[in-house]
Amino acid sequence: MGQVTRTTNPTRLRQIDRLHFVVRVRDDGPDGRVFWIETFDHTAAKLEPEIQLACIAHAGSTEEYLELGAVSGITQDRHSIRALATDKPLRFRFIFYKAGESQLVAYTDGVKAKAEAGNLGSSLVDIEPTSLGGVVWKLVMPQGAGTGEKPNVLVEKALFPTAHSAANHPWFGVLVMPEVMREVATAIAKNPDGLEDPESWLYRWAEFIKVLGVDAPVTTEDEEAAEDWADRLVEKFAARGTFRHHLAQAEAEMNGDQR
Amino acid sequence: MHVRSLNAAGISALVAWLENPSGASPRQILNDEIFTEPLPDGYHLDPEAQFATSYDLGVYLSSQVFPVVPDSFALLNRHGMWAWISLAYMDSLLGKKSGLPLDKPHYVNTHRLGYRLIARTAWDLVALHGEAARVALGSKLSPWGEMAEQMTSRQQIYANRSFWPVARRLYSLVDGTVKSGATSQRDKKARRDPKSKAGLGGVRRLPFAFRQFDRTFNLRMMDADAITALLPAEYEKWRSK
Repeated sequence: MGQVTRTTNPTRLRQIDRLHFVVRVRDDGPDGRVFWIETFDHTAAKLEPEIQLACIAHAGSTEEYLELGAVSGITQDRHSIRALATDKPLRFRFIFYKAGESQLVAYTDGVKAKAEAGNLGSSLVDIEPTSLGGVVWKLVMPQGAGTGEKPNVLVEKALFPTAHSAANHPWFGVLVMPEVMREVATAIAKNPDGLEDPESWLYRWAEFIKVLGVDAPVTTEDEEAAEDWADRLVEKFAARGTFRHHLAQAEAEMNGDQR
Repeated sequence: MHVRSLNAAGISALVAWLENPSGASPRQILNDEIFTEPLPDGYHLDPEAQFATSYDLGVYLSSQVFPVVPDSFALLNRHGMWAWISLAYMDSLLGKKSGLPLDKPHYVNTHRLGYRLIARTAWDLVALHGEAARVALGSKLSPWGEMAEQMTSRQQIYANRSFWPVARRLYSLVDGTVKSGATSQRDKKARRDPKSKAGLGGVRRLPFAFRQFDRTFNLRMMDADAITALLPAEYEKWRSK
């Protein structure tokens, strides 16, 4: 007898690769943030030209919904997202439907604006410059359990205008990243099964932990044992070449050497 | 009266009273420059106004105090101002039976519990959802009922403009009160008993059903009746109740 599984897709809903989108965000100062679709290739996405596109821009508990017309006529008009929280990761969900019908034919989730995402798309942690109102950085751990989710380090854009400027900064590397690693390690220690669950955001960390030479934690309710495991992971993380390079740069800067 | 902002000393005074609410709230500090700071915008409110429900407070704030807001996100982040407004309307924000304040996060901004700050959330929800906000904030028994907690604590539905009219359609009575049992929990025992209907179709389960349909429908272009008709059988009694 046939079995309904989560992979049967009875609604025939298609997932469109987010790589078909190039979305930009700009802060227009007093007018707040705006976004626009720089490119969307509906032919490459195999969508009929008359299919309609709508967008849900969301950050934390704030969201904006916009209908953008037929996929063949997408313009680069600016759309205000000033009501969205700036201290939460900004993501776009695009939905595709036939005019006059409410059932979707396709969707794309988790699209990030190019300017904010930098080139760190394949990393395990996202870094997003934003306005934090006086705070320099803030870690937002994944809310859901989905495999596409990542820990997000929000950074004050006045200090780090791009993700790369933060990722390559020695002080960011030595002060922020170990704490990020510790938070992730703690999340793993609380749910070691996530490392083996392809639908968990922790799954992608299994290989990273292996490369660091640390055995996966065992399920335990002993908080001290979990903390010890997290400490070991952070120590191994801090022994990596990139971290030691950042540490050497930071030490040189403390000693007054020119970078 | 000009809307002002509690400074650090003002928030400390308010918190001290919330932790030990003997006697009247310290409303005398509302205009005291030691405890408060002026704001540049010239917003005004009536400090003598009284509100039967948090929804009424939200309507007043959105229509009378902040009718035009150039940057709503910036306004939401004025933690001192919202603590000041909480203090100004403390009489309307106390437990209706006890006459005592609820927990601290309902009056001053608290990390991760910001949604519980009644005055701010009431303004925000009425501004976002209008009349539909009444389903969460319309309780005459408490300024922060279980319906408010269930509908504001999940960030996926807080700002979702199609969710709120559906919740109102399912759980509100004509007079604005919430139908009995709407916030009931489906406990472990009920989940193990296929014949048990406890908690089915309640507001605790609606966000999950809603999320499933949100995957396959453009719910934001559908009206409440059309969405309600999509919902599975467990919502039938709420549709017709």
